[in-house]
Amino acid sequence: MTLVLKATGVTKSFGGLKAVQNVSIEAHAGQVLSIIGPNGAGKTTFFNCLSGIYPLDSGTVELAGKRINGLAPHQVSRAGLSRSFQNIRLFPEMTVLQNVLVGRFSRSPRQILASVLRTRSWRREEDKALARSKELLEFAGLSARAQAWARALPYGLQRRLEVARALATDPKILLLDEPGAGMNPQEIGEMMGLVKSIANLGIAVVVIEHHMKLVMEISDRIVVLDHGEHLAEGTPEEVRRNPRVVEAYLGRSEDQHG
Amino acid sequence: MSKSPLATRLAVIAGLLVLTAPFLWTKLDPDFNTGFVSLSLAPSNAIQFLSVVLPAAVVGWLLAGIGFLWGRFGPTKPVIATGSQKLFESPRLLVATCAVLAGFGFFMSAKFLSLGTFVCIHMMLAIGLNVTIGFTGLLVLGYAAFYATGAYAFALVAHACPWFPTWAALPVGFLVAASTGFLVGLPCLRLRGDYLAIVTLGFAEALRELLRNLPQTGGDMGLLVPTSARIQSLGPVGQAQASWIAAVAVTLFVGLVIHRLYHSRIGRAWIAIREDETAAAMMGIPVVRLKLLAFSVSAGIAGVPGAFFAGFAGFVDPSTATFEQSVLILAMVILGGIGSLPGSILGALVLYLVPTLLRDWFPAISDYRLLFFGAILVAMMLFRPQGLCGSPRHKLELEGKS
Amino acid sequence: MRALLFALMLEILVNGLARGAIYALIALGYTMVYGILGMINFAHGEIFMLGMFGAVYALGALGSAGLMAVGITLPLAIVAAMVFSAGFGILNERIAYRKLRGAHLLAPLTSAIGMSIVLQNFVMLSVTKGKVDFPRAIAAPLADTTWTFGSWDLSSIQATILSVLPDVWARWMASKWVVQSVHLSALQLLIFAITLGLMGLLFWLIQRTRLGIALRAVAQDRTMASLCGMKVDGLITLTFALGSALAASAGVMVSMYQGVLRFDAGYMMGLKAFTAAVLGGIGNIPGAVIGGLLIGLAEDLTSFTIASEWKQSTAFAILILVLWLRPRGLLGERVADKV
Ligand SMILES: Nc1ncnc2c1ncn2[C@@H]1O[C@H](COP(=O)(O)OP(=O)(O)O)[C@@H](O)[C@H]1O
Ligand SMILES: [Mg+2]
Repeated sequence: MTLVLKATGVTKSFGGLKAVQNVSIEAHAGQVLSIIGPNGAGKTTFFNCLSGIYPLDSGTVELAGKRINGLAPHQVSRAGLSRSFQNIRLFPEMTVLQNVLVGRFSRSPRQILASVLRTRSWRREEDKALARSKELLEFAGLSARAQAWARALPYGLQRRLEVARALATDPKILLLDEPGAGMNPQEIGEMMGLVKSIANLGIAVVVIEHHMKLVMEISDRIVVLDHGEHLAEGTPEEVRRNPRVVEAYLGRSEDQHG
Repeated sequence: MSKSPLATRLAVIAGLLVLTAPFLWTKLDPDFNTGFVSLSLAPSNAIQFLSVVLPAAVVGWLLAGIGFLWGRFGPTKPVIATGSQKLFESPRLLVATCAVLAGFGFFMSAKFLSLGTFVCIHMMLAIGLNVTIGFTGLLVLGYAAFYATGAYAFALVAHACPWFPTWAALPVGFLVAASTGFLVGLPCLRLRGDYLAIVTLGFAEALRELLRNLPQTGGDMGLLVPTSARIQSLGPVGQAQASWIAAVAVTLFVGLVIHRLYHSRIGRAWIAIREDETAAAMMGIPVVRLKLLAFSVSAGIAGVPGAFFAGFAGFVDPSTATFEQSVLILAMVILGGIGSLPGSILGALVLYLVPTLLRDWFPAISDYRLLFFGAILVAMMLFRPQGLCGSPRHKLELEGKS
Repeated sequence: MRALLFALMLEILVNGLARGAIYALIALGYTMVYGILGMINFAHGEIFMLGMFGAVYALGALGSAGLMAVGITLPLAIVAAMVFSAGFGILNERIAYRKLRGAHLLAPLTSAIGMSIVLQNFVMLSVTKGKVDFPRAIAAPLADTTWTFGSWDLSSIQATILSVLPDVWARWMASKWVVQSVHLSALQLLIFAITLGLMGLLFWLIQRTRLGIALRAVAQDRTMASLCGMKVDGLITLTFALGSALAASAGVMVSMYQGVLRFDAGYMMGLKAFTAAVLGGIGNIPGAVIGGLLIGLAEDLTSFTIASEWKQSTAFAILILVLWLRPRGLLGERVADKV
């Protein structure tokens, strides 16, 4: 198991509100790490901290041994961390294929003049990006919709497109923020299958998810957050048995999600 | 909403009538002896104003109606957009178009050619502005400042070195305007997009103040471009023809460059930034750097027609940097369609030709021009944000998500 | 020499603060709308200009009705201008912005620019391209009542400057820097009084009333506020009305100060007031006041020390500097932005 991401003591407050307090995680290549916790526990904020969208109050984030906290989001992405968003943030006025092509930005060479002159090497790079993007659409099951407008996709496919687009940056680690939110049980099942197959590619996957049954099925490890704090961690079995977790989260969640 | 749409609409109209009434229906009579002022009814005022605005509004509605019917029953394929796609994708077609348009030059009067040259200049301006507004989604208000930068840059260079070849005007205009744009954009492109609008507006005002007060730039009179640096006749090709041919060629070239940039990695990154900045950054796009690039390219493209204008008209003056000029270019982009290259070309054609041609019949039109441009900006945003050529889908995004 | 500098500073302070108070009044409108809608209300400068005209039309109507006493007509005209501008502000929001709420930033901004152009040209075409005089009989009693403080005989200082410095510099300095006394007019006092009064009222409204709490809630999170049962549309309308009324009061005072008004008066004024709002931190209400005062002072300093031709560019230079060095403004911006 290779360690891909190591976050230590991540802390972030908004004014008086401590959204994330001293949270540490480790994510390994080819494994699925789930983050669970009630709404408002600070899961999304934690992702925002990892991906460079919010500066940390304290703590460090290391990606493959290099510090990435303090870097801007695009540098974090270049370093190999990619993510999806809880509230879908596609590029609605681009086609599905173009959305994924945008993800190839940092993995293709800078060729401004060449793109104006349309040199042969530019064409080659363009074809390469195109081929890789189509491959990813195939992987995410979106090939048939490649030329559709992203906005016109049904909700479930928009979530899949976010995942495909995030993969286009060739990440070492992928953060997925509630990829199954708002989906029907069958779609959630398919999404979790996709998550598992991403991990099988050797990418470290960190998932925020509410659907407990699936979380238990796909996760290698689970981290539980509550009120911004690291409440528990372990294998699905350990977490399920942890009385603090049952008290703090599972009971309430069962009520909420019925 | 508690009130019905009709009731609110009536209330808005009533409010408009009441609030505009003093301006339209009354006249101020200052009494210079006592220093007081009184008010009297003056319907002639309103009649004069409405006699221009109402017919124009009716024509506007009719055109909108035709546009609506065209959208309903016309060809389903976006004719103009596909046409432009074909034109700029095929070098052969492009050269042929250029040759045909240039050929026209030999059958037209000099007056007509000069009009055509100005249309080309405005097409380039609209294409350039579209790079920031349309591709990257950043509003630029003082765009004419970069037009003036290009024009003055060439005029000053031509003064300093009289041997300077005319064709070199274009790269000089581009480089100087692009670097100016870079410097102006540097402080504000890190921030929310709307700051750029105000900063460029302020820059245009400051630049005009500078051009009018500096001794080197000739004050309000401007500068004459030395004859040797102007566009000249070549054998059988008269000066008007030469200008027209050059204008067509340069415009098509600028269009080609922008078309190719748009359909490349950079162009996709620009659109991504327009659509969602945070998501774009998360895709590894250095947002600030690409915005700066877009804005510099945009400013640089304004410098090209600027320098061209200097070589064509033979003079430059501070009026190239007026707010009115900026608004004209903005209205062209908005009318044609934000983000659409053929849209900018069409917008420039319509908004330059219509007022110019109408001026012969209705001299009053030049006073009302700006009023109509403003109205176009508002009306397009409210009723057809995708512009004449934009895809209807773009509309959804501009109109809001919920 | 010390007396000279003191007088100079006082003069700059009085003029600069009077000017700055005006900017602050207008900047409040920018900042309030930005705080609540996240857009630059580009037409706000025109609302200011409409306030100028509103006051003169009101004075004209009162004059036609035979009312001439300054003590009555001026307050009435100010109120009328505020109502008039508030009406325009509300209509403007209703017509040009409401439909575009939640759209891409570009849409309301473009619409606002269009509105600004339309309003400006409407006034130009329906009233006049030239200047309109503010009724002298109303402004003069205030503008001409001046108090003079200090009376220094500075001829020796002037002579010293002339003898010490190189010729060009000396003449320039002697003509600009020698202030023999400080003037304060009743009009300036009125500007201070009205500005302070209106701002006090605004702060009271925002900090101390339920309406103010609702306004602040809407500015923080519109969706949440509407879920809590607040009438968001109404509150936004109110914001426009308040901002417009403040701008109108500034308009009346500027037109009295200058004695004339023009259709394009709102253009530069709007640009500078916006700069003031950015300087203070956009969306931040105390920031707008401080920003306004600072810009006013800076402009007067520029005309004293450099040259009055460059006064117009001062605001722009400040804008660039602020954006460069302290983009969130002096007091910090207050704009909700969530990922
Ligand atoms: N930008 C922000 N400003 C202020 N408070 C925030 C911000 N983002 C999140 N919060 C607060 O931080 C807490 C954690 O939120 P979040 O990370 O979204 O929770 P989760 O994703 O676990 O549901 C919540 O109380 C939320 O209101
Ligand atoms: Mg969340």
